[in-house]
Amino acid sequence: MHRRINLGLILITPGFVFIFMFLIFPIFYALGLSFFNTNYLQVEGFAGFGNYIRILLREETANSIGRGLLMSIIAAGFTMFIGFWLAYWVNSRSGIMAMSLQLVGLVPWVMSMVVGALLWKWILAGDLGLLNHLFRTLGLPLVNAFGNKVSSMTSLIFVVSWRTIGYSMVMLLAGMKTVPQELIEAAMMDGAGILKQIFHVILPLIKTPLLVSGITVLMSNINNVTVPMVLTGGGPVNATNVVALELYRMGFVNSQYGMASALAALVIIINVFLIAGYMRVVKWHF
Amino acid sequence: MKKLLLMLLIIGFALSSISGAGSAETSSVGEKKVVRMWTFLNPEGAESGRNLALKKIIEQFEAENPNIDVVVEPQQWDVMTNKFFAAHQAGNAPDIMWVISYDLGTAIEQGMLADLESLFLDDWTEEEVSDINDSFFRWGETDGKHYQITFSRNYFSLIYREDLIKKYNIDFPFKTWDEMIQAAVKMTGVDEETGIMRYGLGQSFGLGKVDPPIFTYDALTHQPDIFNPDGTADWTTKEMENAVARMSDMVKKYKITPESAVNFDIEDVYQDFMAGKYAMMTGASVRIPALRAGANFDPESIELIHYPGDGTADFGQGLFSGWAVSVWSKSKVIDEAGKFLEYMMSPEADKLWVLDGGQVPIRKSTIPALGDFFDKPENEYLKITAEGFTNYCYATPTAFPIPGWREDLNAVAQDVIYNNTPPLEALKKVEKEFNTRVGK
Repeated sequence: MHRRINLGLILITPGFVFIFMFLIFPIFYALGLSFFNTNYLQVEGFAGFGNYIRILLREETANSIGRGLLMSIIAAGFTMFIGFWLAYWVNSRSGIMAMSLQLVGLVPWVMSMVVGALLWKWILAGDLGLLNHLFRTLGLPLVNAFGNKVSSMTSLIFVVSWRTIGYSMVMLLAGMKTVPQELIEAAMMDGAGILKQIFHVILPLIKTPLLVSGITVLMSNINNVTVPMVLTGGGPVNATNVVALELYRMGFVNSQYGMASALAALVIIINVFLIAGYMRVVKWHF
Repeated sequence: MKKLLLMLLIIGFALSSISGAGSAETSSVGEKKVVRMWTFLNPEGAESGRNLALKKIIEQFEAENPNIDVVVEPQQWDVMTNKFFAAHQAGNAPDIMWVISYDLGTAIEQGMLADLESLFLDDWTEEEVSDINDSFFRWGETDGKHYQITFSRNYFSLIYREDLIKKYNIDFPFKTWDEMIQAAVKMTGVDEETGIMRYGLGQSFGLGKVDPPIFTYDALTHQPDIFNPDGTADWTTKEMENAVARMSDMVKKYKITPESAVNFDIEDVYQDFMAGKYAMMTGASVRIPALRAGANFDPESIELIHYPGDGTADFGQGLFSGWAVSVWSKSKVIDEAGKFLEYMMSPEADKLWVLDGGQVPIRKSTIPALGDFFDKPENEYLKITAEGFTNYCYATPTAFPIPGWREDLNAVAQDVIYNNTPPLEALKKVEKEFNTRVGK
């Protein structure tokens, strides 16, 4: 028994050390820094809750949190909707198309976010982009994907969703594979159409993977700084300046590390709520 | 107790192996010393001129100094200096650092950089010092000590296509901003050969990768500085207001810049310029070799000129910029790092920066040493750059921090163009934000 404990300790220690160094320690370091005035990264005296007060008094803080949540929720909803239907389609087929879709669907999730966002920027951008080239060829009016607030936010939601659809599809597909076929057949015998089968049989039985992937996608969206930074740069006029990007700017552009740490603490709180939801869903009650 | 001891041992072992892996690069391996350098260049990456020059310099240095390895850790240019500040606090900064011009003063003030006198300048003859003694060398000079050598010397001004200037029979160079606008209007239209809608002037106001917006230079034609001596912003002047209004007219009234520029970043403009979307653009002199390499029109037609002035002087002000290459004050291989920095500006290396990298030389002696290289038509932009450094150049202050000023001024452009906010109102808003940020 002792040996097993020691072996266990040895096996988990490297992982624990990495998590401590690159996750736990930075979180507490940032929390500590949020209570100090900083000149770049040089600590220049205790600020108490000064950084938090300054952060909360800034109009852009609330706006960027609002935008971040709006973008994340809509994108996550879109992702789950499309991901579900793709999973449903794949689950009902077994040919090469279904297999290919599973493989291709995961590519956006595993590829570099910078590369993905840049590709979409080049496709959507201006009159030299691929999309407008296609529209011009077809005689359709050109679109200005990043030229106004609504189109910029729409483009951002689209690209953020594109990145996560494959992931949700695979998660939901795994859930659907566990649904007993006889239940579907029984529902069909009772005269249930596709929608009734989905709402009364499939969805209740895949509730856990549905919620787990939904929360994971939501957290991924809220903390995503790469896609908004590369795709829209937060503009025009802050229209796509989501909270993750605002946090990045405050720290790495304006060098306000104390305030950035305070904002990071607020973002951590949002994440903690989501993590609590996640843990509850996977039935880890505490 | 035994269990606790075992756990502590395991954690200690894991920690030492992790930290050991990191510090092995900075410390000596046997007799061999490793010098780490952070730069946006990548000698093993794409064969751009500057990458190639750096690669050759490292190879030559290592051949002459077999006991020193130079390891380049390529970085994103726009966050590299902030990472350096963080790494300095963590005690793991690179031995040689390329510091962005706007943060040089803060880096010196916070004791991050070693003075070059103690590294090698004290051993130089007066003649040698005089060979590199110019305004770049004196940049950031504090209490008679120098902390950096400026590489990748950059001049932000007007990049243009000479073929279009000739085609449209335009009087050149422009003496005033209005002359420039009228020329841009003439060159705006659908390109007959490519079918691309070409605009007279490419600019960007997005907050991705940013350069100062054009109205900065327009204002600097009329006011000597955009910062006050106490470190506050001086942006709510009549000159700035007029310059912002003129910039807005370029987009809305004259339509020489597309309105979508509110969300372009400067890299988009470089890309589109190479594709033929613009006749002129605001940009950096160091990018001209890359623009020529990627242009889908006659690359030799890409040239550089100073910004126009107000008609009284020959030209207006461009912006000086460059990378302050310095040695980290806490480096464990500080002498070796100093040696490599000294080598990077040796007469041999300086020639490589010019010939392969398309850069303006650091040493005065390099110009005669390269004979008629600078007189070749394709190198005219280097002469314009050197002339700009001497006569038409504004350098941002180093005596106080000015973080985020370029983003602030681009936000003004967005606010005025997109929201129709009056220029003075938009300027007041960001001036207040900037002053609050720097604690004034």
